[in-house]
Amino acid sequence: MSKSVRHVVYLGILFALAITLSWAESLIPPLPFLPPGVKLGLSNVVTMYCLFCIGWKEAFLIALLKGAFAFVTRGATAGFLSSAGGILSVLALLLCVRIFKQRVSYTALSITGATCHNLGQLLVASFLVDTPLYLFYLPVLLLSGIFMGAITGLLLRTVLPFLHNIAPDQREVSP
Amino acid sequence: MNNHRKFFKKTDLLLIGGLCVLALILLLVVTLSSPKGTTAQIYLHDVCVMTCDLSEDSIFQIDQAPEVTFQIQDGKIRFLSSDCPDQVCVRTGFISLAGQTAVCLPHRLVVRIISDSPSDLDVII
Repeated sequence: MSKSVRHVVYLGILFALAITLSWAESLIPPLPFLPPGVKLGLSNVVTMYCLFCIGWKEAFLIALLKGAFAFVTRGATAGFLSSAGGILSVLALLLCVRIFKQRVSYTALSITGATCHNLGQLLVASFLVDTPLYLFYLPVLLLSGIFMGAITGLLLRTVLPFLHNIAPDQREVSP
Repeated sequence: MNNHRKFFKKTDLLLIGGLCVLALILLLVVTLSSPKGTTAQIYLHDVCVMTCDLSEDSIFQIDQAPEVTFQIQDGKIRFLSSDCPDQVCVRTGFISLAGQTAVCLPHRLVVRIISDSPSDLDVII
């Protein structure tokens, strides 16, 4: 198989994986003790893998496609929220990787990504309803970013060796 | 090329601790500096469609969005029910502090508590 075809196929599989994870996550009933809007963010694992091991352009592409998918299936509001969170998250991760190179750990990256994902969504939500929602919500979403980010970081670390087995040429590159 | 990125570093604790402290400080500042409000405003598409007094318990709908029900009880207000898919508005629960909001994004509905004193939260932050 030529390299470019391989690339497209691999990205397609990753995108399918990202939306499947989002969907699977939506099946988990909301836990009553968790504040609203707090989600695990499983598909961030895919975005992070894409950024670390394939390239930043592809990571942005996945984030945008995820937003587009939310737009088509769940409406304009969900689409905007998803895109904003995804893009800000990739942007922050890219900056961290560029600045700190290999010195920053997966856990720290994952927490940064999750927190920025929440931040992006909160900003867009505030903009959509023209109300500063962040006053009371920011602390909640910061804490949830730390917690959920740690979980997704752990997941990424767990699945990385398996992904390397499937696609041995997709080792971590410096984006 | 081998992968040298570590899974966890001790400095990560600084990041986690820093973010936790920041969140707690924000939470404290916002909660302590907000007086209880006595009035709530309901916004639909950024337009205030209703102003309600929180001292009278009631359950009501607004004409523009009959599928959403609000409840006022003990000086607090909440989304009692809504037909939106995410139910974030309902799960927000009761709100009563000035500046606090409950939002239903699918309906573009916002319930906002208004403070009585002129010194609003916006001044502090």
